[in-house]
Amino acid sequence: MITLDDIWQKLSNKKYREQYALSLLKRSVAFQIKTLRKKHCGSQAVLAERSKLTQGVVSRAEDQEYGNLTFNTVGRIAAGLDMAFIGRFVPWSELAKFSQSLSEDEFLNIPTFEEEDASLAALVQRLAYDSAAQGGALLICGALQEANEDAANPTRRIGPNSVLGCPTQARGAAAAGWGD
Amino acid sequence: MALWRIKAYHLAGGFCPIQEWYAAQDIEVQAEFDAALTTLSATADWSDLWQFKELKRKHAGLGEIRFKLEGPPVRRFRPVGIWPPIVQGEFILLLGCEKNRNLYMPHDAFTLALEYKRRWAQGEGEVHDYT
Repeated sequence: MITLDDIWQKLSNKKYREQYALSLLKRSVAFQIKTLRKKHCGSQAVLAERSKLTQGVVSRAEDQEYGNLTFNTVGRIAAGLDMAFIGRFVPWSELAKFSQSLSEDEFLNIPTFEEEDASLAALVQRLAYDSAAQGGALLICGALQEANEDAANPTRRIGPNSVLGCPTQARGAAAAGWGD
Repeated sequence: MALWRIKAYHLAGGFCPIQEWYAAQDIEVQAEFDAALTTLSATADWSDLWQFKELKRKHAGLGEIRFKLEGPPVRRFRPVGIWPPIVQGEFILLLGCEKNRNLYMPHDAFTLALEYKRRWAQGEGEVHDYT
């Protein structure tokens, strides 16, 4: 098994790490798109339709050898999958860790917005019950009340400018780990 | 965690063809190969990947990893291993080779790979993690 030490030793060569990072970037994005497309859309045609792209573009996006994807294409595909794609700069140790732990299982667990929203609502409810049992935090109680109303009326949607305690904000707080 | 373990065949005397091949390559080729192995190891099913091809007919029993290095000129590589895997989730690399149109370097790469596979099946040599 390749260890972090093995990877780190290779990365100590500048030319190597530049090429490796470039190659892994193009391969891992294509790899993620294919993995997620198979789970959420089945065919390339379905993802293409949801992304407002042609099937040929999706096919190319899944080609690990291609390497000329634009941000626009990746962004549209992310939208078609109902997920976010964030590119960010990281230190080399992050690349080493990413390399060592890369697995399609990790990406198969990424929820769509709807899936995440539903699970966060459940989390908010659980936190509210826990909190109420311990004396209660007003914010969470408010969130619970709103969440219950949401559950009773699924079409009801509260916008980002509504008062503190709305489910949307509470879910955001839970997503950000504030509820921990 | 990676879904596949990549291994390397070592001949009875300790010589490891894939490691020797790797060491002789340009640093860019090494990096490209390692990146290809990273995503392959992370993929459960290799059957519908361009990056991997099961060989047939006279080279049955082998599979080649496919990757290229952008040029000019574009260079194509085909490291070879045992396929189907002897142990589920383990791919044993036998040797490396480069493809130029229909020519392979070394020219007898697949014959040699089959010979290594035969030796391994007879208990000659050892298999270690590929690093």
